[in-house]
This record gives sequence, C-alpha cells and structure tokens, in this order.
Amino acid sequence: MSRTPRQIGEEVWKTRVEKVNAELVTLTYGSVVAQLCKDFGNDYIQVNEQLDKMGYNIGIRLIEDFLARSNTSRCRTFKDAAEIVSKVGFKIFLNITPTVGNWSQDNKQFSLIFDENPLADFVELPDDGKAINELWYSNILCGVLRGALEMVQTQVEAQFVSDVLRGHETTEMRVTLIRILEDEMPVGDD
Amino acid sequence: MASSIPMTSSGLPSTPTTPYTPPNRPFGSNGTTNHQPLSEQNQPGVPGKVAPATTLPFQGGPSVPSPPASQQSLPAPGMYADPHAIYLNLSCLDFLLIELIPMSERVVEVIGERTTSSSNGMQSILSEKDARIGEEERRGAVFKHVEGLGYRVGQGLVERFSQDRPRFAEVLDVMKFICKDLWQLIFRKQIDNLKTNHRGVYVLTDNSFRLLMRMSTEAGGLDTVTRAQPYLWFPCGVLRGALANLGVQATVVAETTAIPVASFHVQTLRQD
Repeated sequence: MSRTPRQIGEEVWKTRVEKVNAELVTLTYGSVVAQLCKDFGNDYIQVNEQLDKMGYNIGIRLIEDFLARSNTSRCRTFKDAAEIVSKVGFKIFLNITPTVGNWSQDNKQFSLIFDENPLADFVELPDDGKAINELWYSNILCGVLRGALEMVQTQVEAQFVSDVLRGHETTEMRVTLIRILEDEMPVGDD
Repeated sequence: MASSIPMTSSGLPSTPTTPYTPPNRPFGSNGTTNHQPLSEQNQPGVPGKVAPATTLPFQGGPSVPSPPASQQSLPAPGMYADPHAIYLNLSCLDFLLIELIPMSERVVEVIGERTTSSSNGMQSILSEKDARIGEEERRGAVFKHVEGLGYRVGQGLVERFSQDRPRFAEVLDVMKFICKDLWQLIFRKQIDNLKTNHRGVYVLTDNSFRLLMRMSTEAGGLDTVTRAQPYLWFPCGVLRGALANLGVQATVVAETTAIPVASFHVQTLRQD
C-alpha cells in the first residue's frame, strides 16, 4: 500500500527539510516586489511578468530539490499531479497545502485555492488604485509551478485569478494543462 | 503522527518532538555588561598614529554548529525562538537569493533598453571602448539594484529582530550583533573573523559563506571568483541597511579571493 501524497508531504516536511523563519523569505520577496514596482514606474503588468520569469527559473531548479527529497514516482494522470503539487510540493517548500478544486470537465484545468500564503503575510498593495487591479503579488508562484512541471514533461499555464490582497474572498491560482511533452532522447544517446 | 491535520490548519509549525535547548547565547540576554571585555581594545586610536588592525576574537561562546539537516530540523538556533514564528523550507530562501542576480540583470537590461532606444539609435557605431564603458555601467547598475534590495532587507531585519534588545552602546556592539545574530539568521552561521583598525574600518570575514558554498565553474580559479562576485552584492546591501538602521552610516564592499571565503570591508562614516 503506497502512501498518500499527504503522508509523504508531512513526512518530508518533518524529517528532511531544513527550516528558516518565514519572515526572512517574506521580507526578501517583499523587497523584490517593491523594488520592481519602483523600477517599472508602477507598470504592474511588467512586474507580474518579471516575477513570473523569476519563478520559472526557480522552478526548473527546484524540481531537482523536490524529487531528491520527496522520492515520489511518476504521476499517472494530471489529477495525480495536482495532488502531488499541493500536498507534497507546496507542503515541503512553503508548509502549506492549497486546496485542489474547480476541475474543468476535460480534467485539464484546476484551481489551487490558498487559505494561507506565507509570501503575502503582512503585505498591503500600493494604494494607487492601480495595483489592486493589476498586480499579482505572489506571481512568482505561477512561474515556479510552470518551470517545475515543465521539467517533468508537463507543460502548463498558471495564473492567479483572485487574491485576498486585492480584496477577493480567496486566493486562487488557475492551472491549465497545455500538453504532456514527449520524452526526447538526447541526440546520440542510445 | 499528525497526518490528520486538516489542511486549513494554521501556518504554525508542528510542535517539535524533541526538546529544544537554545544554544549558548553569544551575548548575555540582558544588558550589555557581559559583553566580551573588548572595550579597552576599542579605544579610538591615538590621533595621528595609525592603530594596528586587531582581530577581535569571538570569545562570547563556542561557535554553534548548525544542526545537520537530517536531525529534527529546527530552524537556526539562536535567540529568536519565537513560538509563533512560522517556518519555511530553507531552500526557498536560497532559491530566492540566487535568483536575485539574474532578475536584476534582466531588469537593468529592460530599463536600459527603454532609455537608450528613445534617446539615440547610434548603437551600431559605438566604438569598442564605449562598449566596454557600457558594460561597466551595466554592471554598476546591476550592483546598485542588488545592493538596494539587500539594503531594504537589512533594514527590515534589524527592525524586526533587534526590537527586544537594549540599545547598543557603541559601534563595536552593533558590529558584534551583526556578525553573530544577524548573520546567523540569514546565512546560518556567524562571521568567522572581525577585524578593526579602531578608526572606523571593520573587516568581516566569513570563511564559508553560504551563497558561495556550492559554487564552481568549469574553468575554476579566477573565473569562479569573478563570476561569484555579484553574489556578494546582496549581503553588502544587507550590511549597509542593517548598520544604517542601527545608526551607523557606512560604505560596504566585498571581495572573495577564494571560494567560499567572503570578506566584507565596512568603512563607517564619521558623524559629528
């Protein structure tokens, strides 16, 4: 009987993860976002994009860390992958397990609903009347997910559709499966 | 096992199952009186005479080895055993710090393009020399960007983590706080060596600086050192920001001559 994703996540978090005070990460990330807002003269679309890029680069490296620690096996379906992302992935890095839900009929789209988000603790968006409609503060997470999944042959699109920082009821990220990438053998590797 | 925790449970870390004994505190927890007997050394040099640089040994306590990751992995030992603190995977911080450099490079590029493309279209006739200056300027801009991020983080850290401390009596106390507590907090170990000439210059050396620990390049040697340099800009900013919020204006530069040794040269500015 194999263990559930939740058990794996709990166990890895408890035994195989070195911890750091969340405030340190929150503060560092906050500085990044604040600086980007300044750099781009409050062009929040650009800020979102930069955060996403940053996340993507993290994601393609983070997957190694994830696989090494969690020792999970290949996911059979996109549904399995969603469970692993939430219960193992988010658990062992951010110690949260966003709720997976709102599956589309074709099972190619789901939502991650965040009850808590350590990145956004103590955060208020700039009150220029613009940020609240344009800035996705935690957009780095979309990039991380996209980058990490791409490294395991799963191409997705991820974007936030609501954020409590904007005054919404929930923080929700929508993840869409684009395609499963084919395993490609490197040239000359038999 | 706590596997039945509902996923909406709060972000509090699970209660550690092993007792946690705080390590020896390098500083006495109350007051400044039991600091190391360094006050004598700290007499300002006689004017007109150059004081020799002195190494200030950290005799305050045995160096606290960070616990191996395999153990009940509690956060960094130290004085901030806040029961309400929430914890994340240390890798998150590492990833973030690593990614600051490429991010800043991208931002500088995007912003640079915006300004140059509007001002002139003479890029093609730039001489080689101009190109080199451009490269230096770009590096300077990236430095400023990364350092600025660090500055802000340094300020925030001090604000948050020195709030329960008594006021620092002198600059040396500030330096020791930074070398021991602040460094431990961000980079998981203390500064190995603090030197001063007693005239406002401090040199902080970390013999195995966390951000450089796992760095190598194919060419090795000088190549590695050169390419590692940008990763010292963030801690420079952290130092400057932390010092500023503790009332010490300073300039900070860093260098590494051999990975993973990093030394930070702090020049405090006299304020009258």
